[in-house]
Amino acid sequence: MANSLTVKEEYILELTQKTITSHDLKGFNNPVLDRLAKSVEKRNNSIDVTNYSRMHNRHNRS
Amino acid sequence: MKRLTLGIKKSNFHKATLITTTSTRGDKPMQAEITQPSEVRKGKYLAALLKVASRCNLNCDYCYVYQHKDQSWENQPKLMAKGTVQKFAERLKEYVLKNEVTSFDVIFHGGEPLLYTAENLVKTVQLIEETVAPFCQLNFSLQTNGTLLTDEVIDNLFTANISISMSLDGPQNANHHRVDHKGENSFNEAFSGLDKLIATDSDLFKGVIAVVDPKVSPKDLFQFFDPLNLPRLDFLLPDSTHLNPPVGRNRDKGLYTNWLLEAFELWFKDYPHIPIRWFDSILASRVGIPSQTDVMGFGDVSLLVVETDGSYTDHDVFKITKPNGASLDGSVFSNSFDKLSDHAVIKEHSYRLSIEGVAEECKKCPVLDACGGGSVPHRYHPERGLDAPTVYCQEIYQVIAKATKLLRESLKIDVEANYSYAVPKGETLVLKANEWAEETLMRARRIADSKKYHAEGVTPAAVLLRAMSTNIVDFDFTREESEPLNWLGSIYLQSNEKWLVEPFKESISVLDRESEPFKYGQANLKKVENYLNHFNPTVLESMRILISDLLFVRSTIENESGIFSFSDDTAPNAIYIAPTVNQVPIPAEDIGDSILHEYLHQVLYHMGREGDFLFDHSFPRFSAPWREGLRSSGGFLHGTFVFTHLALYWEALSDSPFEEIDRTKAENNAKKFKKQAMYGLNSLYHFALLTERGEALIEALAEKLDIQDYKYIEAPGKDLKVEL
Repeated sequence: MANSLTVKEEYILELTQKTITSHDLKGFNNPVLDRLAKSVEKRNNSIDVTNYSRMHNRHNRS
Repeated sequence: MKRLTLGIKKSNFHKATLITTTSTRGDKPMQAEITQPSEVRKGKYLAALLKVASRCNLNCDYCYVYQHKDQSWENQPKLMAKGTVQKFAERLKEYVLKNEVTSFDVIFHGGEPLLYTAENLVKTVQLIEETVAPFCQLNFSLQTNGTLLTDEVIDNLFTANISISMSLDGPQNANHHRVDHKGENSFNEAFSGLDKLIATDSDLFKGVIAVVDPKVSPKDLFQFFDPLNLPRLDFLLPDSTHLNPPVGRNRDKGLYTNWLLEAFELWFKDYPHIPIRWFDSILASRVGIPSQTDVMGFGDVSLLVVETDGSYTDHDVFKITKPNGASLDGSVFSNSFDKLSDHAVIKEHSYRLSIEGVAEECKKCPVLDACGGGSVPHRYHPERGLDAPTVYCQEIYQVIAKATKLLRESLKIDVEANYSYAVPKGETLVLKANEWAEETLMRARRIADSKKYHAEGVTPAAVLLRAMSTNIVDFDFTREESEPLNWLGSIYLQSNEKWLVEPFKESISVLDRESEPFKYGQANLKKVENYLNHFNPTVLESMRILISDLLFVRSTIENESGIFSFSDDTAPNAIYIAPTVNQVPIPAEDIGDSILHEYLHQVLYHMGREGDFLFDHSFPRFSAPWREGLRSSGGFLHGTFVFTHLALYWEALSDSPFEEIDRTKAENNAKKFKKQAMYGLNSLYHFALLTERGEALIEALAEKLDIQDYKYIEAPGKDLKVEL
């Protein structure tokens, strides 16, 4: 995998903080979670979620 | 039959910069005083509810049309005239063309719409399609009590592509609110209709909605509905306001809460194959998916209602609030949909569906993002109008916590908890600081080698930030200092390495070493060292080991008026501190607060790299009393972690030998941060998707603050009183 990625991409992956994917919700033998997985998949596809949510902390503590 | 069909979805939250709203009370519709451009929160119609029949063959005791404050149905014609339908179709055509609407739902409603007859409904579809279908896809549906459904009626409706949703509260004993005008339970007639619908096995049968009666056990309901294999079921809470609270709750505060909690858990564990729209939505809210129901969530006003005589109303559930509670000016004969969408009442409704338009209690509630203040009519309060949390605040709050808990427990099954500490302290903290510093250095070296950077002696954050940047021709690092400054003997102070700042230059500017603010900051570092040493010598030692760079900066963002500091996980172990606010120096103890604050963020970044605290770092999002807007779960966890330690820092300073410390200020800050940490711990415990490691972290932070009761659960709008 690493060979096909740029340094920046590798670093972004390193920094990636978990966002639930449909994969995380499958395999529990629970139709509630299966339906949720479908919703997550639909949402993630439609808004192009890249499973990437690094935090950028900036504080203004007046 | 008094509900919206199952097919209506709410639009996603539309952010707006709005308005102050005032409302008049009494018998007139509330008027919104708009102070911003009117197009900001107009209605955005995607569906229309046509009240083709104003009367009903049933007399359900909870019906919002006939049994609440509004009695305007008495003035309506019994059935919608053909001319009214024609005018509606013309208005719809005008609207979809002007607004480029490509799909629109038309819902036949009442009263009981089958009193209009299936034949007339089919003719109505034909008439509307002839006018509008060339320009927009139309979806027709019907919400019925089911008592008038025959095979022929169903066949006629399905042939015309009209989908059907039914209202039925459950088995015979659960259906006792749904009676005819003689007071007889309508179950047998309704169930006969349902049976026929099920027998069609058609996709045009959309499902059943049931109003909750907390005296009927959830188990009885599931046992009744389960064998029916409904395409969808939905539970609705009885329509109520603060003026007319849910029946029976004054005697038993937990009546509806307990019912919901039992129902949700039973559904999740024993009847998960039944799709229940509201429950599925609650669960989906945990991973940030907008609500599909009117009960919760932000959105837009996307449904318009046309009464039997052609007059417009707001959502007809507003009829529960007061006489003419849903009334608007005009009708299909006088106003376009566009004009209606600009009506002050619609704007207020729309505003109430935005984050700006919820009550103050809601803005400080950890489940705001999911709940959105609740159903707008259910917020009605005699003194506050719609500026109140839903009357079902406590119920919704608790069921969201239940959903979070059940989802968390499921997700934990697949994840092995693997951590050796909850919060590192003492020798472990020092050991970890060494490991994290070393690991950061190794990461930087690997990248420097792969990119052939000449990075010897360069701080790791600069290498990592440089590697992240694109479109930069200049590869060189610039730090060539004969006598670099430092703090604590090992932390570079005010490095001139440009890559430490380049990615953040829109937010911060590094202070010149000759500037007075820098000199002030530098001069106070000894005091800061003393304060931190008094607070916790191990923290100071680990800071010395972990932090590579401290830069004094100023904010370059307009209107930055508070104490400012900065750090980022792309710049590991580098912290950026403003020693002044608007050129005014801040006391040394506040500089210490900022340094500790950013160090703690770095610590939590490193801890997080060793194992997740959250199954999802983005969702759910949290609102917090200390900051506007919504924060990701990860950000909220960070804040809570930091506040916990800052509370202890200020507590230590309030009881310290340093004469220059303002004791009152230190005590107040300690209280403030403890309160914030408490809110964070409580909110995360109930509503974040914590891993087992995350739960251990929360517990350890509570222990640090000696907080015993962080698991209490209490909705902010729970005890809203009404003075009658």
